[in-house]
Amino acid sequence: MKRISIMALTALMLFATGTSALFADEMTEVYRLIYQQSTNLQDRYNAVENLIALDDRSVAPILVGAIEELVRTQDNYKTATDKTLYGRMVQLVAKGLGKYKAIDSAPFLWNVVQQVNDPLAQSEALIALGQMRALDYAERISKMLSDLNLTPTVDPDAGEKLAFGCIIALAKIKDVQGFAPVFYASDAWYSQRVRQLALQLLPDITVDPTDPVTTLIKNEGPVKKAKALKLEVASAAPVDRKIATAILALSIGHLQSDPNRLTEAKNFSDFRKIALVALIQLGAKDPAAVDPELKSFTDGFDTEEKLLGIQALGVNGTDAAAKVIASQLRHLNDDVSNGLLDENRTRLARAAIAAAAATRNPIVRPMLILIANTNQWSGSVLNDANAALKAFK
Amino acid sequence: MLGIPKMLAKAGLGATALVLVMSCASAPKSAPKPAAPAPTAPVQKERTVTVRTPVLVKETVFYPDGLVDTYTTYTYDDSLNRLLQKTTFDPTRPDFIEKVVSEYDANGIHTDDLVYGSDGSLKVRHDLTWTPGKLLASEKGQDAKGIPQFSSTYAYDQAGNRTEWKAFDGSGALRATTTYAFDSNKHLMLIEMRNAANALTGSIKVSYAADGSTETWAYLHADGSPEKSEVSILKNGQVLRFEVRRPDNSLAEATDYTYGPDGERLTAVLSDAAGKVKEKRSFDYRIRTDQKVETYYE
Repeated sequence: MKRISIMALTALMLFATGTSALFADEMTEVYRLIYQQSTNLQDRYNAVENLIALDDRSVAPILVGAIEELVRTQDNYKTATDKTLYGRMVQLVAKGLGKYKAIDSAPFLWNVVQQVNDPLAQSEALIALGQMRALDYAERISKMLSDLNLTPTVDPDAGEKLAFGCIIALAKIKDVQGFAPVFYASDAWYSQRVRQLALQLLPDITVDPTDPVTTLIKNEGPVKKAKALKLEVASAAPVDRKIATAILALSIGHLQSDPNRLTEAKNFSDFRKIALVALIQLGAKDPAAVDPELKSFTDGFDTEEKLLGIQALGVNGTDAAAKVIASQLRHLNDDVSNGLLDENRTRLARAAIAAAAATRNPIVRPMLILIANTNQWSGSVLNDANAALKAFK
Repeated sequence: MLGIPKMLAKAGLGATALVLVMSCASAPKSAPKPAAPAPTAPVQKERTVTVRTPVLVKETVFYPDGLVDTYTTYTYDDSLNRLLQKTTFDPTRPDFIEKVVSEYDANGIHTDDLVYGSDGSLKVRHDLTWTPGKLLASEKGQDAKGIPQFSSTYAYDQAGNRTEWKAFDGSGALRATTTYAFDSNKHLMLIEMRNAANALTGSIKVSYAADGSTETWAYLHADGSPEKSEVSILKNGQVLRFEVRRPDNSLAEATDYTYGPDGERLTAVLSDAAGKVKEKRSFDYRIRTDQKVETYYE
């Protein structure tokens, strides 16, 4: 009724009020009394609805008492009508507890999750735990979602409602251990709506998902690896952690790929490309990246990966990277000197020259001079080599 | 009405936001000057003034770390006079949490509010009636099936102060009566709450510092023992701080407010007894401007 007072007065006073309202205090007292003195569930429900509508923080202790009692008295409600009303009341109280972040009620809310046989009420209790950031329950909610992810529940609709609550709870609690179950939920048996929600909320769970992403990259197939790596790259994790993850991803992407299984090899290549793009964009200069970057250049699944590999080496720019680039330029130059000039070599050579220039490392200079003086190259390659050399002057 | 500073504090507004005369928008419509220079009685004049009214359009609730918990948007008619809809969202949820749609009759009288849950279904309907003086006379709540859930009636004195509130259950049985007492200056002084048997269940004593710097609501149990108190610390009619105190008068929690140039509340920061922030709120407004003819004497 206070809500009405708020809105009614709003209309009268010709401007909107803020969150809290008028006449809150005695109304809270009165509805608390009505709640306490009510003997049937409907009256209690009505009183609680009015209490929550008051938008008054002081109702929180009343709601804590209410949820404790609701859990304790669940077996008293046996008819279908009572059970429905009971479920609605648990939802209502849980929502209020979440709103006021009444952390004292967390054990009772978890009891609702475990004991109350109403998926909407359970889901609302999970969301309330999330809203109050009940960190102590992050592990339990993560475990619950992990279990739900595995296989459709007997009542899929009920399982989906629980998963929905778990996902939102974990997104609000923001504990890193919620990342993996929500990640798997984004690809589990649920409806598109729930899977989409999980994917959408993954970035909210933690600013630095490096640890769970690393585990996923080590253990999952190439498609999930790629999805996890994208999340890491887009996250607010420290740059050095992102670079380390990308290097690991690139290395594993080469190690685990079986070139004889074409579809898988293509998926692994796509995964490695994400890692290479990340290393380029992050300006990775870690010597540990050189070997897998070189492997992408020499053994990449397609030209795109090869070009990204050499570009990443150029960005790397370390002596190790410069030596590798110089070595590749020598191979290409030898081929062309032996009459093996073709479009592909021209393309790779131009990319390698650009990478060499990007290193600004004197190690590559002799090879650039050599190429610039190898007349078998096309004019575009010679021009590139000469332009690159100017960068060293 | 009730204690104005506290009322405004809870309404999310500063006193000056009610009506703020900003400037003269046209020349005064003055009477002819008297011919004789001798002193004369003040002359009644009129002038048109522009009134700026902050209209709340968004309220955002933040966690202490600055992340958004929920936000509520307020939608009005084109003139910004009538609130049409209030919708609360949680950024992590795909649908709104709750939506309240206000309806008005042909005369612009606010007749009801429809409360919808996150699934879009109607949860509660609140019907309102008003006194001829546009004071809330009654409210009646019913569920989606039209089954009555509760109702209230209100009574007022000639000055428009609320003097009584009666709360009824869905069957129409009286459950509680609350009375309000005022002093000769129309300051709310005492609220008494009684159950269906008319037995006192509790009371609230309201007191004001002589210099207007504080307003205290002391909550008492039926036997007169203290339950808690709420202290509003005021400056120029605005609540700067709202404290909730335990029966031993120790601080339980406090909310600090800031205001904008039109008296509109901008922020509210809730802290625990140790000063640790528990929640932050911010308020966004649009400014409605109205022309008003004002009488003055010169």
